[in-house]
Amino acid sequence: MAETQTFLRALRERLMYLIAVLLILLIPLIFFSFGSGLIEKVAKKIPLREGNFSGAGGVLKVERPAAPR
Amino acid sequence: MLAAAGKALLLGLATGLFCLGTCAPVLAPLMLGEERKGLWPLLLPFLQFSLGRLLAYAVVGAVAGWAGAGAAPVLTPRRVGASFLALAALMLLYGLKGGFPGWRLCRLAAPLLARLRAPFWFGLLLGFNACPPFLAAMADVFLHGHVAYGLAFFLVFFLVTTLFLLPLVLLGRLSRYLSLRAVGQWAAVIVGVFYLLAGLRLLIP
Amino acid sequence: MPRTLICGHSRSASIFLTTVLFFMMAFLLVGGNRNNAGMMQASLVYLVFMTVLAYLLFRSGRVHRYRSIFFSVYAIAFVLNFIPILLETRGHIALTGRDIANLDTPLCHLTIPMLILPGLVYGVLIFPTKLFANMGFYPMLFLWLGATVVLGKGWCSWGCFYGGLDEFFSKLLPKRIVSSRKFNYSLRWFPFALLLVIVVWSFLALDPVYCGWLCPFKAVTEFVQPTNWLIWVQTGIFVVLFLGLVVVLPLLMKRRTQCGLFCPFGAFQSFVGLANPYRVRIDKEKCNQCGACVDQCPTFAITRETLAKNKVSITCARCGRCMEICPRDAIQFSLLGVPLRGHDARKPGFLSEVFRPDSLFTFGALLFGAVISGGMAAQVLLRFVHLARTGSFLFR
Repeated sequence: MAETQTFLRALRERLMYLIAVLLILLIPLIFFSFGSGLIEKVAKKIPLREGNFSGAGGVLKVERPAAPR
Repeated sequence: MLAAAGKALLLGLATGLFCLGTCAPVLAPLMLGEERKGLWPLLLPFLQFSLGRLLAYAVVGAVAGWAGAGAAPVLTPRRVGASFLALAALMLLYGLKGGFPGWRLCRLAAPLLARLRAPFWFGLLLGFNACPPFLAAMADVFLHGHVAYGLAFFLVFFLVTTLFLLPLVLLGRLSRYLSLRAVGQWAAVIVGVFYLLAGLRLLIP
Repeated sequence: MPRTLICGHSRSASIFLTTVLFFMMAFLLVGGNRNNAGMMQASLVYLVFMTVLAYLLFRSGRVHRYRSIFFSVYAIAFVLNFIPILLETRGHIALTGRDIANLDTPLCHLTIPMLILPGLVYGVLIFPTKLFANMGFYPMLFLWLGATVVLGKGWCSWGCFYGGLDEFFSKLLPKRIVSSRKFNYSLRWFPFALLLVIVVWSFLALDPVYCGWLCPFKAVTEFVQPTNWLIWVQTGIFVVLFLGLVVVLPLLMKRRTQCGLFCPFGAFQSFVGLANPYRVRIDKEKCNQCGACVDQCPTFAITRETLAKNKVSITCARCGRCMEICPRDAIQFSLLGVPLRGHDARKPGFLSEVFRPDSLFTFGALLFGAVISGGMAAQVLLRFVHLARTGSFLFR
């Protein structure tokens, strides 16, 4: 029992270190994806549109949509 | 209706975090009782307590909406502005002083109610409290002057405050309440400033 | 000041970590500018600067000192670049009605918490920016998501382009003028309250109210052109908040008052940052409750109460200051699920030094910080060269 626990603990520690290394490797991927068109591809599927601003008086205000989706 | 829900959410958070947060330590022993075996014995007093609060809130919401409907012709922007300023003063006092005499009442009443072992009555009484966010909620409903609006408003208010009581009752995490209370306190200050500005805008033509 | 026991790295481990970091930074910083000789040269200069900082950081273990230099340079470069870019592309700094109607407003991460609810309920972006523009919504959202995974709350000390400003001012005076001995630490919950209010309020008004009323950084970036008294009041608030929270209080208290006591995005990041596996932990066997960290934490994240429980608040921004001043070396960067062994137990050995949680965190944070700041820093360098040559800070 104790042995299993020690083994599991060691496994968990290794896994965390692995995650830590993967997080470092993720950084170049994040910055590369900016030029790759990946963001556009994913974001096009999200139903979000740009606001319609009157701009009168320079006040940031969006026209309230007619009804919630 | 969404706007009502949003405002009720905000005020409910300020009340839930701070006022109920203050009452919670008093409330907890009443809720938890001596034995904590099983979910049902834990949940039953909480449900009774919640039912009491819900009833109180429904009454307050309906009455405030009804009274507002009657008073609508008298409510000039100037008077509304002035009442906003009064509310702002209350909220700021409540937030900055870090307390309000009202909650001491709660502390005084708790042992009596605990002896009665009647969570329903405790909830009902706590429902009619004098916390400034609660007063602000009442004022909002009054100014709108619709019974249905008042009921909807206070239903959200009830749900939000319940959200904050639930973990306390189920987990007994008292220490977390100190920081939550501080958040609620500062939220009251900010909402107070908003009321101040809204009041001034109504008063200054 | 008590003797410090900061745990740096051996020379070989420092050289190894710096070399790997150098190549990764070079790949990302210089590689992206292959078609622009000027930017490539400027990026090389910045690369050298970051490499030297990284070596000093690893070797000495003074995470806070060297991070703070990078972070201040980054924030100043951001401001020095942002306004000229506005002048070059728009011809003016202040936002006009037409800019807003054309969605020509660059978006920053501070708006994200206010955009979520209206986006979910109405499917509309309530900030006047384009979805896919260079500083538009999706690139910023994506960058923030990435930063949240990689840095967590560490974003506030390694990635945010505003945070370095109050850090910079907090470092200017050698000594504190206002003591924080009687400081009311419940103020550190103010950003959470502000977050709550602005999220709900923005949803109700369908207007990012923080940007319109409360953002201190409008004072040094862009603001709505004052055309009536209300906008003058708003602009006045920006300036007062900036001077108060980013300049004067950091100067007097030597703390990051904007980040620790005001920024609602910081509060938001405290929650979402929990997705990142790094934490700052206090070794209860080493800590003797001297309170040096309570007195020095730039973002007010350690109080007497949290210290008594050997914990730091959820608001800890991973800046490394406590580790640097702890006289018993009791505070460390750690990984969730990995026990806090303490520096004594850190086996001397090349691999165990490289794979220390603090080495891994600072490595990632430096890489992220260098890449996100690289373009701005390089461009500002070029601007200075341009200024010396032509007398103008603007490229056209």
